[in-house]
Amino acid sequence: MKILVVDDSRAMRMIVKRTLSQTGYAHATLLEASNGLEALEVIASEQPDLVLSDWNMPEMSGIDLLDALAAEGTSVAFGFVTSESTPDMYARAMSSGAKFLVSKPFTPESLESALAGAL
Amino acid sequence: MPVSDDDIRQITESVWLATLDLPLDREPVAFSDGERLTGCVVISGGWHGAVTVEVSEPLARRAAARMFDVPEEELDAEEVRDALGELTNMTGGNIKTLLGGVSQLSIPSVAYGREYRVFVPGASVVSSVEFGCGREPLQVTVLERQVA
Repeated sequence: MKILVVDDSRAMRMIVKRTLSQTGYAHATLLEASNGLEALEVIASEQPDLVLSDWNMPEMSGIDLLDALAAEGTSVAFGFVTSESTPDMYARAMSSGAKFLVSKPFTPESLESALAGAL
Repeated sequence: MPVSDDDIRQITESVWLATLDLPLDREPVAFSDGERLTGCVVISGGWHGAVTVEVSEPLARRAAARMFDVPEEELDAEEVRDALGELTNMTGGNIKTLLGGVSQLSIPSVAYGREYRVFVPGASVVSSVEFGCGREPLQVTVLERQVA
C-alpha cells in the first residue's frame, strides 16, 4: 500500500509518518509532497492508494487538490488532516469526495480509525 | 469573543501534549532577555484577528527536536521555525474552529530575535495566556480586529 502525505510543514509530515508507523499501516510505503501542485505530480507518477492532505497550504490547497483530482478523473481515497474542522469545511470536504477529516492534534487511534473507514 | 482563556489553555495544552508529549504548567515562567520566537496566524472572514504563540529559543528547539525526532544539536534554524509554525497553525486552527462562522486561516509566519514586537495592524489583545514548560516560557495571545 502507498500513502501520500501532503503538508507544507516538514515537521507535520514527520509526525503523520511517525504516527502511521504506530498503527496497522506501519508497512505502507509513505510518499511526501509539500503542497497540492507537488502532490498532483506524485499521484500521477506513483498512484498511491490513499492521500492524507493538509487543508491550508501555499501554491495549491488541499481542497483545490481534491477538486483538481476530480476534474481530471483521478480516483484515489482522500482524507484531510487539518488543524481546522469547522462544519462548513467538513461539508465542503465531503461534497468534494473526501472520505474523512481528522483534526490536528491527532492520536494513532483517531488516525487509524479514520483510515480504516476509508480503505 | 466566543473563546475563553480556559478554552485557549485547553487547546494549547492539548496541542503540546498530543504532538510533543510535553505537558505544560499553568504557572507562568517569565521571558528572559535571550532569543525568542513568535509564530503568528491571521484569521479573516466571519472573525478578524490573529493568534500568536511566543516561546523562548530553548523551548522552540526542544519542541522541534521532538517533532523531527532528532537531537537538538542536529536541528537547523529552518526546522525550528517550521516546528513553531506548525504548533501555531494547530493552536490557531483549533481556536478558529471554536469561533464559529466562516473564516480563513493564513499560512503561519514566524519571527525570531531578541528585541522585537509583533504588531497586527488595527488589532488589540483580547486574551493572553501564559505557561511554563520546564523552566521555559510560552505565551499564547489572541488579537481581534474590529471591522466596520
